[in-house]
Amino acid sequence: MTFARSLSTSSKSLAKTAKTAAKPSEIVYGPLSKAQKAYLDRVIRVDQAGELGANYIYRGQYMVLAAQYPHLKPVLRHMWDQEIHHHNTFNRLQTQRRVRPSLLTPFWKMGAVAIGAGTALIGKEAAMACTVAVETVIGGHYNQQLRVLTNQYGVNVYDKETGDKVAGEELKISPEIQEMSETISTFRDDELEHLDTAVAHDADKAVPYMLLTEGIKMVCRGAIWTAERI
Amino acid sequence: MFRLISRCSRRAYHSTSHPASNIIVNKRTPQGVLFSKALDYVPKYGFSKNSINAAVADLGYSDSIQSAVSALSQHSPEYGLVLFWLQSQRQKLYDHALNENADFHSIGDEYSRAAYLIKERLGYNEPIIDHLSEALSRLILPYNWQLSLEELHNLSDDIAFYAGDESNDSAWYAKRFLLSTIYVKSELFMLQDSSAGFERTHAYVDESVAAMKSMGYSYSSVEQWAMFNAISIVNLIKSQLTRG
Repeated sequence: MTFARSLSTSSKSLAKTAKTAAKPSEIVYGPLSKAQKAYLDRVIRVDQAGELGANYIYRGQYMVLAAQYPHLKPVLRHMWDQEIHHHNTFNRLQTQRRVRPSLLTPFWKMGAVAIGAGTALIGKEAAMACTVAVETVIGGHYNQQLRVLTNQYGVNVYDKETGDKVAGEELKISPEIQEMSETISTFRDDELEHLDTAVAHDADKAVPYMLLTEGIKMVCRGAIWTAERI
Repeated sequence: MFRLISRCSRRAYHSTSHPASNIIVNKRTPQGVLFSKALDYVPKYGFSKNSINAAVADLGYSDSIQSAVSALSQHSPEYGLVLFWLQSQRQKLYDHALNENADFHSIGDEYSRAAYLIKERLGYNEPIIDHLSEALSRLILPYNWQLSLEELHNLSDDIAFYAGDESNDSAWYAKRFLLSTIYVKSELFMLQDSSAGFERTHAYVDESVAAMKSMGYSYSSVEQWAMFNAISIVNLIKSQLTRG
């Protein structure tokens, strides 16, 4: 029965795409609701703060580890460069979409350098365990955002000339939201790649592994909760 | 505190694909139609009930529309009219910033652009300058000031955005706060200004924005200096440690 239903919906959606005559240049997307705007506002603020944190955590790790372990230098540099790219992307989104940055930005900077440098001072395994914890939380958080962006952001589509609702195209997702989803999913993949890198570099050999990872995960969740709001 | 912060950023998210999300004031609602008409009478009657009455008569509405409009908000209709006026001037500034032929687009420097926008916005006060102090006195009443402040911050946020602000940290807050203060004090200066074409007000705005620019410059210079010294101290300690 589920099979039949999924088949019927897929054939319906096929028919819908076949019927679509309106070109993207001829339509205009309806307004976002207050709740939709508020959520996007939060998404950009928390992701900017998160990528800032990641950037500074790797900066702290690199400061301590690069001189001690030359073989780790390119690995850390690669991850750090990716985080810088993520951070710049969200900085740009924050200014273009007119989102307020987190009020605690200076605090996030200091905290992130402290976590990065602090775990690196314990040892390179502890630094990798820190990466595991941070990237696990961020990966899950990005997935949550992607679920909302794909499920909750359909809007009505209107004809540009007449202003009438275009039939058969209810709840379409605009290029703006699609672009944001693509950015987030690319970044999520990068973060999960860092997670694999950290596991490959003996993260699980860190001595109080559970304590370290669970502690840092808790800190990250608290930071996410706060950065969304303040 | 959360509520206060979220109230101050009500119109924060700026959409690129959903143009209708960015409209500042909707002139097609019943209130919008009535108040836009009433604004025509403001130079004559001020922000008073008379302007609204004249608009009702002009549009040929029944007087009961007034109770329908005032039922929408907890504030007095006069205050509603002031707020509507502020919002529609903000919309006008937005349209001005979008106008490709405006002189605005030939200015490169962010601070000069901000000064230009403040002067442009102050220029919109000229037709109603005789009634401006009345409007300001309504804005600062205890039960109105929160909404008025929100409107002021929306204006400074607009100015910073059109000027091309790209700050990502505390500078974002500092700039908007300073622009708000500059706007308010320039408006008060304007009330006392009797020079032709408000030249002295314009000079005052330029001066204040220049002071803001030099403040930002000195702050980042101190920051850079402190960072340099911090790194030097770490390196100095390291070198002394390796010497043993």
